[in-house]
Amino acid sequence: MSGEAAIAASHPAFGGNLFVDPCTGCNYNPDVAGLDVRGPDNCTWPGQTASLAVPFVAQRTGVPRRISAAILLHNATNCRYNKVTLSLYTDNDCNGTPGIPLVSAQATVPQGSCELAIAKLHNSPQLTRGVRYWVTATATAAQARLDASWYVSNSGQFAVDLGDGWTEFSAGTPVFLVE
Amino acid sequence: MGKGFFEVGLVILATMGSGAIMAQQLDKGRDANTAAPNTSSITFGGNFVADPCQTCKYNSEPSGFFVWGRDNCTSPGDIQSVAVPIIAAANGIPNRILTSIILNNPTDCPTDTVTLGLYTDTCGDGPGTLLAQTEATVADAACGLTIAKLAGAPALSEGTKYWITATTRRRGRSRFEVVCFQQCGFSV
Repeated sequence: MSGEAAIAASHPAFGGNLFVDPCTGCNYNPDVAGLDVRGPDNCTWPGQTASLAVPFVAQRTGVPRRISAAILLHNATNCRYNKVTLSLYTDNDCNGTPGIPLVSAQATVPQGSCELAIAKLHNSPQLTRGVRYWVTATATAAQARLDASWYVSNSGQFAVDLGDGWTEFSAGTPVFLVE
Repeated sequence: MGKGFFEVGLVILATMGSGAIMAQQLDKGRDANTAAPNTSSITFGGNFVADPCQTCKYNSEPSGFFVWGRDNCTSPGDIQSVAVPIIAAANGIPNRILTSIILNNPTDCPTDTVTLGLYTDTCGDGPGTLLAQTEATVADAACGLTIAKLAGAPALSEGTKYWITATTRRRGRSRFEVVCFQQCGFSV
């Protein structure tokens, strides 16, 4: 994990699902394909856009300073544009979608695996413990060439045994950390 | 994906209390909002979340995973066990496992005993070696928790991956429903 992204005691998390699995040494599940985050001028599916959002319940009250997300370029050789917008939103009255935008910042999508895109927030409003918020990853008009994948959390792992031994699966949500 | 498999999940919480290890015993399922977690204990890992959009500490809206014994009501002859991993957040001996397992149909399928186990990890093939297990009585009410008190569990090591399993060891009309997983997030 990026040293900058490590959770510091002086910088406690408001919420997130980021942790390192000792089996992979990675802060996301590298065995599962990430979910698309794309601008309209992406290389893979030109004309199509894809944004993602993940909810969390704030674990403390305070002003967040950064958002980290396990977003990597889909094709770092041919589609090298590497800026993404990470944002915080209110919850839309428990309707399953983000509500009102609170703060946004641009992050640089990292080159290496197991690293994080980190957006440093400025003038974020205070978050309230126990309240539900959303983290979003989008491509603005200026980021139309973005072609990236948001990898899923190690927390989504599970196993099933139908009588002939265990088989592992993963159904995780995209990895994020709000600090 | 096998028959009867529903893609939601299992909420687990393994805790360590400060008291002496107790003899194996059953513990009745309780209301999740009153029974757990115990703030005086150390939590090794888990994913219960108090979400203001949810009544429970787990997501009870979608179907959960079935945990089936061979003589279950829905698909007799089929069995299904479910496991979720934890990475221990502390060193110590766990003394109970809490899960979001509730009976799927308490009226017609009242068998209410499930085995909750603690296993080592295999890094890719799910649970490995059994460390401790005990039976628990499955909750039969919404937002209930099924709680197993562990006896003789070994010490867990911080940063090491383990698995919590829900299985049925006995024959019987054992059909359980396990609700919630990633939509509940993860809470340590």
